Amino acid sequence: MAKFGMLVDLTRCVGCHGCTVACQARWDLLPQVQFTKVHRYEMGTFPKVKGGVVTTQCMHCDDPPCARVCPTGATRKRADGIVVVHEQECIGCRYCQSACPYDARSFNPERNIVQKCYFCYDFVENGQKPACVDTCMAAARIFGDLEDKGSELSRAITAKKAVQIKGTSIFYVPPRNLDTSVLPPDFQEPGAVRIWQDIVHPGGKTIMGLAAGAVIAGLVINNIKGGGNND
Amino acid sequence: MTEERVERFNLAERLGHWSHGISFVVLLLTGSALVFRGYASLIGPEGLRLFRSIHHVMAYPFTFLTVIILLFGTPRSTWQWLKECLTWGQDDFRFIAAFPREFFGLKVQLPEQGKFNAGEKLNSLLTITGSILMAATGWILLLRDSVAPALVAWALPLHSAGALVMGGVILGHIYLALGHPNSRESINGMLSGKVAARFAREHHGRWYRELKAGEDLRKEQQKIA
Repeated sequence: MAKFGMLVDLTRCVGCHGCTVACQARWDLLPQVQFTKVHRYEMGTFPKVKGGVVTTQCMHCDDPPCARVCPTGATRKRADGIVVVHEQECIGCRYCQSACPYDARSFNPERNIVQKCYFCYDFVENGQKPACVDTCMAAARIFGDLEDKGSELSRAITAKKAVQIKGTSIFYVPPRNLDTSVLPPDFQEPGAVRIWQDIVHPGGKTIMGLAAGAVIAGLVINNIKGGGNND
Repeated sequence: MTEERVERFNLAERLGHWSHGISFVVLLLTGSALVFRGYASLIGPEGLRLFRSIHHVMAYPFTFLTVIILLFGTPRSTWQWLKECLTWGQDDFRFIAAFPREFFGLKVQLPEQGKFNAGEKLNSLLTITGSILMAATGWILLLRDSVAPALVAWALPLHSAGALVMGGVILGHIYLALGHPNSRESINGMLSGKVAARFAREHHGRWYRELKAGEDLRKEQQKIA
């Protein structure tokens, strides 16, 4: 089984926003819905300033919190590592949107659903490349199978000394002479998600279950005791 | 011979109770589908979208209607209720300590109580604080696009926690109002407004005495007049 990933070579990226637009065209997205974005940054104080661009998108996390909080199972991680939203099953509760540590989900107000980068899975299945990779004129994006050591992606990761964002499927080649703080951080499950899913849900269900059990026990005891008289 | 009955709740008190009770139960039934996965898959995406609409509509009566009814319909008894809920004496703590035995139908002597027993006061306080929490976090989620993302992220676990705790409380509340042999007379107080005098005397002795004393005083004054 493949495990898909992507490398973005920021030393090649020219910040043209072509990826954002090509993706929107392929997925017929609303203007405000952008699966991949291009951010400009500046560092230092004049006259010693440096600048550049970083692209962001769904990181296709190894253990995606968006899938964890999804109440219908519409968001799920496929065996090939791609995190998808089954849009027909999405009810637009937007839990995933606030669970995502990378702000990589967009709400579609017209269809009342949440959407995200799908790594162009249905095109990839037909042997095509994701739209952002196809369109990138600087060839800054490389898509492929991380488990296949001979794939273009795996070879590029080694050759370019790419940095993996830990816990995700995304690699960057950081800009020369710039520290990696401009990149998205390594994966960490948000505290609110952990407390919500690990403490509140099991704890709250236990409280409700105990209350229901107490009521049933009370009914049973009172029935046994009241069985003899009708008072 | 008809049993003597005394008025416990006026019309506004009862309307306030039911506007809150009905909106809460509808909110709980539509909202908890997002917590219990089996329930969610039973309802299906179409049903859940309908649940969302109902949940959002019900936010309005839950937040505003009860407060309006109580504040404008019966401000004096509302104030009295809040005052009693916040006044806790020795008898109240003894009542809470002894009540689990009563709940399960075991023999126990409960201390004399006012119009609201300590359990009802505790239920009131949990309902008031819980409802404020649910309304506050709920409106944050409804207005999520205009508030800070961190606020939304923390409103979600708080909204779930409040719902599940209050869901447990309401199960006990319904049982005591409908199922428990000693306390189920109290449902009449929320339906017709009146409870049996015997029930009032045995369960809310202090309140019953004050009620009778007030009546006697009025009769006395009528005689003088």
